[in-house]
Amino acid sequence: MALNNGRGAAAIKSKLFITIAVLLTALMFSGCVCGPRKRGPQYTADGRLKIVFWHSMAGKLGEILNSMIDEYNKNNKDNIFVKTEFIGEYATLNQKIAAAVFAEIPPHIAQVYETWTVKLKREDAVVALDKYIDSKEVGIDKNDIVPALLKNVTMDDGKIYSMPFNKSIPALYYNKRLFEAVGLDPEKPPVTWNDFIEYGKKLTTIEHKGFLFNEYVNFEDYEKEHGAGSFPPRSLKPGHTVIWGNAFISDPWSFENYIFQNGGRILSEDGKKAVINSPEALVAADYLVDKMKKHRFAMRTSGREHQNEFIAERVAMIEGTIVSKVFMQSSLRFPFGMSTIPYNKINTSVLSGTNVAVFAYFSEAETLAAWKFIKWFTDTDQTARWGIDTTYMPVRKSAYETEMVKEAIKKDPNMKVALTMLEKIDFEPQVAAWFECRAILGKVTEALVLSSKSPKQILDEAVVEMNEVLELEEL
Amino acid sequence: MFKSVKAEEKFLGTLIHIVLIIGALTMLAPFIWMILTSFKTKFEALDSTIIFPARFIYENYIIAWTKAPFFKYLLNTVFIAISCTILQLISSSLAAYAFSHMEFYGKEWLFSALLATMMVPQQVLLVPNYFILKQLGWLNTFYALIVPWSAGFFGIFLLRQFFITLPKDLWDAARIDGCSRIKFFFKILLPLSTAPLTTIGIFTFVGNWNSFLWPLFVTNDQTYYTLQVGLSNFNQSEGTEWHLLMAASTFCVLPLLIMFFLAQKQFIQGIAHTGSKE
Repeated sequence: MALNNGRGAAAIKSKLFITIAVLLTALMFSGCVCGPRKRGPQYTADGRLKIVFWHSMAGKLGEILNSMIDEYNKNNKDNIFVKTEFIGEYATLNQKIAAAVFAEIPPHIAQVYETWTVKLKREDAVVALDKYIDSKEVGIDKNDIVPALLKNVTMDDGKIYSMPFNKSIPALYYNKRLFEAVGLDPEKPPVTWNDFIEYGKKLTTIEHKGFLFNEYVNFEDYEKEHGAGSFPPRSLKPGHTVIWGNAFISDPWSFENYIFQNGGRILSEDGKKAVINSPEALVAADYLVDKMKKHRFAMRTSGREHQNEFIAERVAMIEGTIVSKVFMQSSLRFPFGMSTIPYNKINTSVLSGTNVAVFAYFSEAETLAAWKFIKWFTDTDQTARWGIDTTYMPVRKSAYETEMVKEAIKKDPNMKVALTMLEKIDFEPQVAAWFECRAILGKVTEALVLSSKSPKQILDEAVVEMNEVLELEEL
Repeated sequence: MFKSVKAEEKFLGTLIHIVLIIGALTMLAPFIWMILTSFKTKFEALDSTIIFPARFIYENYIIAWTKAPFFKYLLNTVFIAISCTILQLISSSLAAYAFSHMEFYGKEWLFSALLATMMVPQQVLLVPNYFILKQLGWLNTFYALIVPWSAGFFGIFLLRQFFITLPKDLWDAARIDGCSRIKFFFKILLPLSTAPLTTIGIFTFVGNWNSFLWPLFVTNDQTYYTLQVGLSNFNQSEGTEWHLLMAASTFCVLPLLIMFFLAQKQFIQGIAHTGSKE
């Protein structure tokens, strides 16, 4: 009897259990049956058209961006409300855009690199903006956009799919106090590669209680005494520190700059073949490694360590982006100077930073609203303000003529770096496979510093690898 | 060499302790570094030669806490982590029960298929999962943060391995006494499995607590952000505010630490169990 009861109860329980399981499954798939939610234009509670903007501007840059957009939301007369959404780093933004485009739910506007634009354009995921740029009612004067930036966003079909947003170029940061200490003119930063090497050697010193001992400038003497490879010494008695001439990161961007500055290119004119094993590029590769391996005044760092070392006054000169100023200046306890980075044959710098693109899949009204916002943001006054607050390059020529910018440069001469390079900017190749090529270039710079292979061999191998990637993209 | 067995034991004991202490210090060092950095000034935090802050700056915590709605993020994280843990425990124990105590067609095949899912890295699944969630209309909801993590093969595997080590006699005796399958599960199996269940619970909880990419991916709205997503705010493209990031990391990890101390015993037992097979 007891046995039967047990079984009966169990049967009820297991039936109950199955029912729950079925219900749960049904619940899970109910969403499927209903299908995706259709997204029409969305409005805020007070009836303003909502435009979503995905960005990667964290910290201070994000605060500046948001405060400008808040102002736009308050003051614009088109009933537009721009909602910013911070998506994390650029790499995450890239992945998230890819997923969102695949799922057909992208934002209205997002920050994009040129190479992303090439891919997005291929998927018909971004809108050509020419219609709006050239329009009488909402258009802008294309000739007022900094020519290099305009060229940078113009795709191979002659159309513009994105507008320059936060563009930067590299700059040389140097410690004026350390310059003075070794008898260099703090108002005369190095101009050429040779200057840089000479300065670097001079600046590499040993410091003791605030005094700099420069007698080891000729490191060969030091090494005769202490053994080969002992300079600069890594550890010293307490109270002593070593000051290095330069700290660098072996990232692709530096190498690109050096190649271009020496008259080399990365890809052939048609973008189908890699040419980084040219004699010009080889000299650039030597420049990259010699400061550490031959001249011994540079220390190799990773991440943003070079900035930290500069802040801590253990390094006299670093190359970084003009935007690092925003981050560093509040921590710098010494007078510092900024100049364009030293060059060899050609005085040029490689552009970095993103543009903003407007995505397809939206109604005409929404696309127009997105454009209106971009137009506002890149307009003379706003881009000037954005440039001053963040040190990104203003994107309009007229912005450099405004009192605001002139005043800012007068107050802080370090702000002029972008202005002096305006006409001399170069940029990365705009092919769909550039993302992959850049990764190979990154490996090259690592190998140049770390590997025992000769630079020629490393570059030859990289050319083969890049050509494979480029061919694959052609298919 | 040793005068007595006792002396030898004492020597070995000391030796083991020295090794363990070195190990513990190695594990603790980054932690201590984090906490010390959280009290430094911005300048001190950037200088790797400064270990102790000149003055302990508690304001870092206040600044970090108010930089983003961390209390909201904390509640979200707790809610998500607890929900996932409960669901994961239910799903894994039931599945493991089926795999260990029942015979059905295609059992081995199914088990291998599940095992294979462990080999697929999360990055590969990112876009397909995103697409599925979009089809379900779950993007930007708590469903997206909970449902995909409410079952996992790791838990099933761990529990199955544990269940099959239990004496078969238990099962036979229970069946003879008229115990139903479901009753056996609740009355006998589960009470015996507190250790592995705790382990899975903690792993799931910690995993969800720390997960970053997924929440960032499927949510656009601060309403659903978790602590880890909030932390990414301190990581700027041009430099990291280490002193604030470390202060925020400290208060983000605190609840986990408390939990670990409370469940430490079961945790260690759970690990020990999975490693041995009598």
